[in-house]
Amino acid sequence: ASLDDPGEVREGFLCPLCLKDLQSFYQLQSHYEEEHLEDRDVKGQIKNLVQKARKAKNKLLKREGDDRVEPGTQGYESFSYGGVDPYMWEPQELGAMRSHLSDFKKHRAARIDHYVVEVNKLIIRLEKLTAFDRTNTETSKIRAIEKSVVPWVNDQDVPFCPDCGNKFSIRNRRHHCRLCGSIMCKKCMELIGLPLAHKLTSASKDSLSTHTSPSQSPNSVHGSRRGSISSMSSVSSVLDEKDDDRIRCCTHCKDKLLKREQQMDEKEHTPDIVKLYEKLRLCMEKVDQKAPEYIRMAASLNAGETTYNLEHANDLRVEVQKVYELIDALSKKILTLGLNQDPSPHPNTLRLQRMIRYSATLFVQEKLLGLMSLPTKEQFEELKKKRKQDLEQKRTVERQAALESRRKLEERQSGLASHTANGDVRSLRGIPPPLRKAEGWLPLSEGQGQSEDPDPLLQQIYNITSFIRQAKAAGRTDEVRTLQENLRQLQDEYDQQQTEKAIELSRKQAEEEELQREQLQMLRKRELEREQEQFLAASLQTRTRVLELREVIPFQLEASRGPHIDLSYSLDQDSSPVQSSTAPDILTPGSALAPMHLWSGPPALGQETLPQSTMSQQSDKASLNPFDEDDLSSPTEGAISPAAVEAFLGPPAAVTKEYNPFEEDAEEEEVAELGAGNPFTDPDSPAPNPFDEDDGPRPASPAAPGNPFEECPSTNPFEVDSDSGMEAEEHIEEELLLQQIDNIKAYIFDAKQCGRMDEVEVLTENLRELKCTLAKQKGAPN
Amino acid sequence: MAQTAMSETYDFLFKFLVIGNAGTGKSCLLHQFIEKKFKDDSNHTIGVEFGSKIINVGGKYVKLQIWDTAGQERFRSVTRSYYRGAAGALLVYDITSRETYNALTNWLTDARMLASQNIVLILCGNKKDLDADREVTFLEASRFAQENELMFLETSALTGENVEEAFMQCARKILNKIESGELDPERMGSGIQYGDAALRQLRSPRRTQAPSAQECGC
Repeated sequence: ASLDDPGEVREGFLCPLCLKDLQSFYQLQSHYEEEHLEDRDVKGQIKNLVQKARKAKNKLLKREGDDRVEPGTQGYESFSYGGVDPYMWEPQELGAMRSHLSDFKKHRAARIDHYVVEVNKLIIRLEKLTAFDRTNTETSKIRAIEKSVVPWVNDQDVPFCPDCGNKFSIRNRRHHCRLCGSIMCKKCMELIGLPLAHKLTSASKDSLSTHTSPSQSPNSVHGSRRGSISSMSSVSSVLDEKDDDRIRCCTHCKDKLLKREQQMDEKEHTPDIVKLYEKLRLCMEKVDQKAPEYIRMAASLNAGETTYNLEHANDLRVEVQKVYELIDALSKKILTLGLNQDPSPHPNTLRLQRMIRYSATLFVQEKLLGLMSLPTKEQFEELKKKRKQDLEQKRTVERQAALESRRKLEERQSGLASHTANGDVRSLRGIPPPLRKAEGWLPLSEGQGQSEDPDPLLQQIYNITSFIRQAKAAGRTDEVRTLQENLRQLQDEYDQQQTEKAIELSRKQAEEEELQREQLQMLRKRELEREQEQFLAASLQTRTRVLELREVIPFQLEASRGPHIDLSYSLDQDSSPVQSSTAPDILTPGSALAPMHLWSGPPALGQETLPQSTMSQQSDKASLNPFDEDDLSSPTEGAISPAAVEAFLGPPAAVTKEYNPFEEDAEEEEVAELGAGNPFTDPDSPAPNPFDEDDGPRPASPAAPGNPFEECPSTNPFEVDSDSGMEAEEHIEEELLLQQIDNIKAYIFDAKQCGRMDEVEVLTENLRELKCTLAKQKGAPN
Repeated sequence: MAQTAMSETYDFLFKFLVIGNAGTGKSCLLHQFIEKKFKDDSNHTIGVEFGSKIINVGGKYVKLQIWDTAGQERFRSVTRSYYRGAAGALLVYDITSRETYNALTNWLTDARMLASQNIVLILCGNKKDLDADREVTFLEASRFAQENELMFLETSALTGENVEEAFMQCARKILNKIESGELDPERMGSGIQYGDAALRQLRSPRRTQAPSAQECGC
C-alpha cells in the first residue's frame, strides 16, 4: 500500500496503520483494538500517514488536468472522503469565489420593472377605454376617445401586416390595436372582452378591497348585459366596424394581459392540494393534543385506578381514531389528486403528493401504535379488584413487618432487661429502647405535646437536654458528647444574648440620662439667667423658693420608693441591693451631679436631691419596661430558678434608701461585662474572677453542662449582684474596674487566639465602655 | 456481638445539617434515613432535632450526626447557630411547592455565609412520589443545582427513594475531598472528626499506604 503512488487510491474502512481494508466500522474498530493496541507509536504513524496523504495531494494537484480525465483516479476528493476519517485531513481550501447574485438581481429587477411598467401601461389604457358606456356612445366619439388614449400609427406607414406579412388592401384592411396603436390585419387581430377588461382593471384598481369575487362579479354583470346586446351585435357584425363590447388589440398586448390574468388567478387561487394539506395538518395537531391525554387515561385505567372514567376514555379513543381515519382519507385524496386529469400533473407535483401521503401514513402508524387498548368493562372491574387486593396485601405485609420489628425489639429489650439491672428502669421511664449502635439513633422530641417555650433558644436548650437524657439512657456516649457540646454552645449563646440585652438596656439608660442631663442643663441655664435677674432684684426671694422646694422633697422620695421595690421583685436581676449600701452616700460622684454643685450654692442638699429623686423615678420607669418584657419572654427561667428569685427577695425588701440611677448604670455595665466575659471562661480553667477574689466564694461559677436551668441562672450576669459582698466604696469600685479591664483584655487575647472574631468585637466594645466609666469615675470626684 | 463491636468503630464522624422551608419533609427524610420508615404522624419540628447513623461509604465507616432544623422562620436564630461546624448539608425543597423552591436561594446564601466554605451541599427535591402535583420540574431544579454547584437528587421520604442515596452522596463527596486534601479533618469547625482514638493511631501508617493502593484502582 503505497500512497506515494497517486494512481492507487484506496477507499473504504482502512486501518490507518496497516492500511488493511476492513468491511465495516465495527470490524475496523475491533481490528484496531486487537492488532494495534500495543502500538505506542500510533500518533507517529498517523502523522506519517497524514504526511503521505499531503504529498499525494500535492502531486495530484500538480497533475490536475490529466488526473481528472483518468477514469481510475477520482481525484483526491474521493480519497479524502474515503474510508478514513475525513477529520484527519486538513480542511479543503476553496478557490477564489465571486457571487453573481447582485448582478443577477440587478438585471432581473430591470427586466421585471420593464415588464411591470409595460403591463401597467396597457391596463391603464384599457381602463380608459372601458370607462365610458360604449354601447350608448356614437362610434365617432368612441373612435376619438380611443385615439386620445393612444396615438394610432399612420396607415400609410405600414403597408404589410407586421405579424403575418400580408399586404393590406381593400379586402385585407388595417386594424389598429387600441392599446398600443400598432397596425395588424384582421387575422392577427385579437379581441378583449369587456369582462376580461373589467377583471384586469378592477383588480389593479382595488386589488384586495373587492376580494369577494373579482372573477365572478364582472362576469355576471356583463354576462347579462351581453345577452341584451347579442341581438344588436349580430346586426353590427355585418357592419364589422362595430364591436363595442370588445376591444381590439394586437397579439402582443393580449399575451401580456393574459399573463397578468393568470398571475392574478394564481394569487387568489389556492390549489386543492394546499387546501387538503392544511386540513391534514389540522387533524394532526388535534391528534397531538388528544393522544397524550388518552394515553394517560388508558394507562391509569389499565392499572385499575379509578381516577378516570372508562366511558369517557372510550369516547376519546373513538374520537382520536376518527381523526386518524380522516388523516388517512385526506392523504389518500392528496395522493390521487389530478391523476385522472388529461395532462397528467408535473412529476414534481406527483412526488410531493407521494411524500405527503408517506408522511401521513408514518404519522398514523407511529401514533396509532402508541394508542393502547382499553380494558373492557369486565376487565376493568377485575383490574380494580386486583389493585385493591394488591394494596391490601402491601398494607398487611407492612403491618406484619412493623409487628415483627416491634416483637424483635421487645425480645431484645427483655433480653437486655434480664442482663442489665437498669433495663426495667429504662422501659419504665418510657425512653426509647436502645438500638444497636450500627443502626441509627433518633431521640424522641418530647416537646411536641407540651407547650412550647416562647424563646426558641430556651426551647432548643430544653430539647437538647432531653436528647442528652435519652442518649445517656441508650448508652450512646458519642451522641452524649456531641449533644453536651452543643448544649454548652447554646448556653453560651443564651448568656451572650442576655448580656447583649443588658448592654442594650444600659445603653438606653445612658441615652436617657444624657437626654435628661441636657434638659437639666437647659433648665439650669434658664434658671441661672433668671436667678441672676432675681439676684439683682431681691436676694430674699431665693430663700423662700428653696424652702418650698424642701417641702416637696419627702413626698417625691416616697413616690420613688414605691415602684422601686416592685421593680426589684419583678426583675430577678436588679442591682439595687448593691446600691443599698452605697445609696446613703447621696453625694455620689455622678457626673450629672457635679455641675449642680456649681450653681446650687448654699441650699445644695435640697436642690440636689430633688432632681435626683425625680430622675431616679423616671429612670426606674424607663428601666422597668424592658426588664419586664424580658421577664415575660422567659417565664420558665423565673419559674425554674426559684432559688434565684428568693435570693432577690431578701435584700430588696430592705431597700428603702435612695436609688441612684447613675450608680446603677455603672454597676450594670460592669455586670454586663462580666456576663460577656463568662462565655469564654472555660469551665475547665476558670479565669480569675474579680468578685471571687474580693468577696469570697460565690454560689456557682459556670458549672459542668447538664441541666441548662441549673446553669443558666448561675451564668446569668445579674445574679452576681445578689451577692451581697459588694460594699462598694468608690475606690474599691475603681479597683474592681481596673481588674475587670485586665480580665477583659485577657479574654480578648484568648478569643483572638481562638479566632472567635465576633467575641473579640463584643469584648473590645466592653473594654471601651469600661474605660469610659473608669474615666468618668476618676473625673467626677475631682 | 462481633458485629456490634465492629460497627462501633468508624473512620470518620461527619456533622450534617438538614435545611429548607417548613413542610418540605426534612424530619421525614431524617426519619426515613435512620429508621427506614415513613413518619406519618409528624408535627412541625421545634428547634433542632438530632439523629445519628453509621454508614459504609466505599469501604469506610462514616458516622453521620445529623441536625434536623426547623424550617419555621421563628427558629431561624437557633438553627443558624448550627451551620458552623457542619461538614455537609441537605438543602431540601418540596417539588409540589414552588414557594419552597424559590426560597432555596435564601437557604443557599445562609449556608454559604454561615457554614464553613468547604461545606458540601446536596439539593433534595422531596416528595417525589407526588409527581401529579409537581410544580418544579426535574430539569429546572437540576439546572439550578448546576448553576450553584450543588449535587442534586429527587427524593421521597414516603417511599424511601433516593433518601439514603442523598446522605451517601454527600458523605462520599466529603470523603473524596478529604482524600484529595481539599478538606482537613483536623481543622477547627470542619465538622469532621476521626473515629476512635485507636483507629486514629492506626490511620497514620495506613495513610501512607492509601495512595499506592489507589493507584492500582485507577
